[in-house]
Amino acid sequence: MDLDNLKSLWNKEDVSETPEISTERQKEIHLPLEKIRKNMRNEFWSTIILLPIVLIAIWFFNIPFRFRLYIEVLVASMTLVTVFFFSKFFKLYREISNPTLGTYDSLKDLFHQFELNKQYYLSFYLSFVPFFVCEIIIITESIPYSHQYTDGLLAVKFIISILFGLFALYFFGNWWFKHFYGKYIDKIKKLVEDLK
Amino acid sequence: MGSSEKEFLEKIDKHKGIIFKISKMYMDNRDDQNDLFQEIVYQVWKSFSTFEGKSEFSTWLYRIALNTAIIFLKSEKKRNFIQNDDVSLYKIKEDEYNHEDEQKLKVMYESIQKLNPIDKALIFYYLEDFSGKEMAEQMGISEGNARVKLNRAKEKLKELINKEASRASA
Repeated sequence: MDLDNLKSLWNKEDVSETPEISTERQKEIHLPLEKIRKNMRNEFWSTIILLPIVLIAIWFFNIPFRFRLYIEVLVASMTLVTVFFFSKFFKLYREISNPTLGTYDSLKDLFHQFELNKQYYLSFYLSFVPFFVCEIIIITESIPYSHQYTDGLLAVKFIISILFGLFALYFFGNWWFKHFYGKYIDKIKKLVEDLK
Repeated sequence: MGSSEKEFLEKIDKHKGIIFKISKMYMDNRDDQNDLFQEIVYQVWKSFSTFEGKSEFSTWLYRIALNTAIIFLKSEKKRNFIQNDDVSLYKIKEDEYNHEDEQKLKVMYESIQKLNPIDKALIFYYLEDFSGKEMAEQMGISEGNARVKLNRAKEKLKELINKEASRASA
């Protein structure tokens, strides 16, 4: 088949029967931006629900009042940080995606916004490091027999706990981002490269 | 219904055929084609207030439709398992009907569906008779780049059509 014949075939096609314009079907999500928005909304609400549960659960543990107080203040501060970052994410997603631009600019814009989001996400995870270290200090201090540790043993146990926690935070954060967001970013990146 | 919504529906009604053609280039089964069709209409509606009339409505619409189709997500796995033996997806106008042409139309679409999303957009502009300059403007790339990419896309399409045609005749 000659390629020039394709134009004639293209013009001969009968497209009188098209789908009905339906608002119901438009609710289904297929665009990466919408999928990311949905994932982010779910993540935000699960965090917002989880943190008050943690605040309440702390009162069921048999620990001295002052440690409870420290943990409550820490978790409340984490909530503030979470709300701050998610408000940034939502603002970002409200402003991006302009399908009226030329294809290359539209894809590049989308890709840069995704990259910016990635940096926000990294900062979000890093902001949990000091909270995590404080929590390890509080937990160590609240264990009565830890006061009998020698300096060496205390240092080893404390550093191992922190390293283990930070590695877990790093791997979990990395997996989470790749699973929920990374695949869309890779797809857009490939399209931008194809057009270069 | 507001006047803007009415105006939008009138304009979309005139162009819904071409939107459906784009959906068929990007998706290979009726459900996905319908989903993409709806998504394009939705994206055009969302941007409708920004249409200033500086270009033809159709040119503006093609840009949004293709930008939407390019990033439209559907499970690759699902697509691989679906067979398209439904010739009625691709029909020739009644007054020009010819069985051979209808088969060729099917081969054309099935071959285009195998191209990457960017090549599909270039082939669309080629089929719609856009010049190299217009194509470059729509894609946001240089004219030279657009011509090179279009030639490559046409070469790929030619190979795919030949393969598809020999498979169909076997």
